[in-house]
Amino acid sequence: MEAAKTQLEDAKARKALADQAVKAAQDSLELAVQSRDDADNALKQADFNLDRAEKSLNDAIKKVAAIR
Amino acid sequence: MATYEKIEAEQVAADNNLFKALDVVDTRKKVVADTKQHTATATLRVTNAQLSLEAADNAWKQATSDRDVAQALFSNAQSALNAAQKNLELALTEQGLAAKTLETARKTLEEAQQRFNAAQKTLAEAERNLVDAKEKYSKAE
Repeated sequence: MEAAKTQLEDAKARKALADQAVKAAQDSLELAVQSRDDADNALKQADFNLDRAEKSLNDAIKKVAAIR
Repeated sequence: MATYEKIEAEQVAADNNLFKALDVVDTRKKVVADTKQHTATATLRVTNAQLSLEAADNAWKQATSDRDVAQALFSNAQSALNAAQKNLELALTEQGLAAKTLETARKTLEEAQQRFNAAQKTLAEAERNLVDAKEKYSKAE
């Protein structure tokens, strides 16, 4: 019976560690999702800025061509 | 008198020619000035347009670079997210195994406790039987 008690204590300790690992993994995932969303927003903003810059560049090229 | 009039007529004609020539010069000077003005204006417009083009080109290059950086950051974040999801899956698997192990250990302990109780009961009964047997033996003697 002592062996069974020891096994139970070991199993409790292992379960507690597993619970902590799950909590840590969930927190980590939450942060990763937030980081990914932030990066996605930054990428969309960069795409928008690039489109605007391309339009400005095309307009400038047309103006120079018209003058020449 | 005729000679004087002739000279005077020639002088008038010469003056007229001079005035015409001066008019032509003035006209051409004006054309040159206008042309210079137009050239200066056009040069300024070209310079401004080139400066605008240069600025737009620099802005485009910067935006392209920023976009590349943002793309790299997004890829890194996505990789980190995938790794975090994998870690969570592993942790959940480990948690499930630990829960099963815990349940098994509880059952094992419960069974051991039941066996212990049964053994105690058997022992107590055996002890009582022994006492009874001893009493009977004493009486028989």
